[in-house]
Amino acid sequence: MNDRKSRNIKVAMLARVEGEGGLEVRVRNGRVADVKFRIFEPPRLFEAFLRGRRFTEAPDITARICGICPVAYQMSSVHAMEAACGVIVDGPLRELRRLLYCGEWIESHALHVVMLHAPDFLGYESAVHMAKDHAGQVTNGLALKKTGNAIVALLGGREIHPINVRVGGFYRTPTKRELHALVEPLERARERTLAMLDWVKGFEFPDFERDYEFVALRHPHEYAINEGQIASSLGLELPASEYERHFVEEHAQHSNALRSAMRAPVEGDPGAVKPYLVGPLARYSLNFDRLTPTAQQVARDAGLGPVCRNPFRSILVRSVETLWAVEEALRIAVAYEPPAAPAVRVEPRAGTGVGATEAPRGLLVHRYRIEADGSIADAKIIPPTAQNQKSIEDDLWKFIEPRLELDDATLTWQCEQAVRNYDPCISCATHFLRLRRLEG
Amino acid sequence: MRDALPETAPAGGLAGAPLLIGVGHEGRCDDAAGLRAARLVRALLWPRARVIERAGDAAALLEAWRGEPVVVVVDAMSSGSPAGTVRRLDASRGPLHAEFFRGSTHGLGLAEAVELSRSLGQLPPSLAIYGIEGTDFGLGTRLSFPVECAVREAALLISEELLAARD
Repeated sequence: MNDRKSRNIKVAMLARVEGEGGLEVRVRNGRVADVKFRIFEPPRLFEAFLRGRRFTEAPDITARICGICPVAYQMSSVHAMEAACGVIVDGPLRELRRLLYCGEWIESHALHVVMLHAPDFLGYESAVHMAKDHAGQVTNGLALKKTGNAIVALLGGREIHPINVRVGGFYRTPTKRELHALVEPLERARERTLAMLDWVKGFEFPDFERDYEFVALRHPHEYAINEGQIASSLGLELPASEYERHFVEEHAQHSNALRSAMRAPVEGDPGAVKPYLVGPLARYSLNFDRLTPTAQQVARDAGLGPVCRNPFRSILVRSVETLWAVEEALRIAVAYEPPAAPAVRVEPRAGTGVGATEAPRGLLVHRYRIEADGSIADAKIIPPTAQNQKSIEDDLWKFIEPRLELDDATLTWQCEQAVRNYDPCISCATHFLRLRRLEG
Repeated sequence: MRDALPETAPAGGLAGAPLLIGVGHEGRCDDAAGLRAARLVRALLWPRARVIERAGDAAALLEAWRGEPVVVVVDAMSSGSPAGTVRRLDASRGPLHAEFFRGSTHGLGLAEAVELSRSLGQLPPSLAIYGIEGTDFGLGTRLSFPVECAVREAALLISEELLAARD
């Protein structure tokens, strides 16, 4: 029999996550000795690809970083470029961007809730196995995802890696009639989301809470998605342009993704840092008062308070956010009046611009320095999974120790589930280029 | 690059025609084999065949073939056979080998789409999968030579099957 006080738990390849990663936990004498969330997908060098390209190319190049959240990359890049060029995009174009982003949230959240995360709670190896017993819910989830896809296809030109977004707006904007065609599917999607919520609120959630420092965008009037100040639960509030003054990226040997931490200088250690959490739990807990009344009510009905610190309940929070996104999309589709032009003119100028938006998995920061001729001199992309790596490992440290009596199979299952709480996007996280200078 | 022939033929001309789905990724060398074969079939049979293209995401495949009586799918395969091998699999008779078909990194690709459809009772009564064995799935837009040849072979086999299904 395995000695439960000292053992290794190893998941060579995590299932139901985007990208290639694994997990290693070492337990010695009843204490967790080491936890490694390993990201071994090779670096993808996107920041280097961008150098020397036109500032207008950033949305199309960065959209290729992820097939699940390309809109997030497009939105952060266009906001950064517009900030660098001193342009603000407002009115119907701003609304259309918000609608496009809602489409991505709906498809990404529906996929994760139903196809990737729900099987953990119900004891199935995969959604394929789960579908035999929960056909209605799987069909419902796929239909919901389809509605999100339809929004992205209409505004983005196609479902995956959209090609209709540009710095300044869009290449083509929809007619009123085209957008109104979304109203009926969105009304059905609203019912489907409520059904999904009814289902997931019946799941059993491990009794586990963490004292996270949440970080997310916060906007004075809206549930922040593509604009706002970067806020934290301990009172930080700053514009996106100041992000790098308060957060750092570091490299851990076991991971091909840089990991972020928040600066937390203390006496005697001015370089001290601490982990923080981005994503649905952070957004929800910092912006509960910005949700629609219906979304707030269904959250309460699902047993959620205005703050949620149990990462396993992220499946509920994602479902609430899906409802919010459907209602927000409906509002925009109903009120839409086409803009006078599909984009505003953006002339390049030398400077630096930072854009921060809320990808489905959390805060996504882009920073570009461009030359006067519009060429990109430098690029930095900080995706949400890179920011959450430390939190993922810390969750496991805290989660495992009280559960060491569980057998290996059960504990491994729950550890994988704890990672999937984050809906980690490993392909997004491995974007960086690390240069090593060899002297002599 | 946009294909000169539209995905669907003129209205009214294709009612009841079997559906061909080309699956693949244009920027991953041999992974584009399914797309290239499907385009060739479209050129050979247009307007007598319905041909669409998908990236291979399970949800999109489910949606594409739901309610269709006769469906043919063509995709690149990685089964260990010699490069350029063309294999026909009858998905309506049993599960596909998931490891043969490179799905999305979420693990929800063609093989999972077939099983998901089966679980949900939405599997087309006739679902044939043509696999084209690839050898290079790296970044790039060129097919390897054996796969380039196999694309033509697969296109001819699929065209025959689609025409026979129409009769």
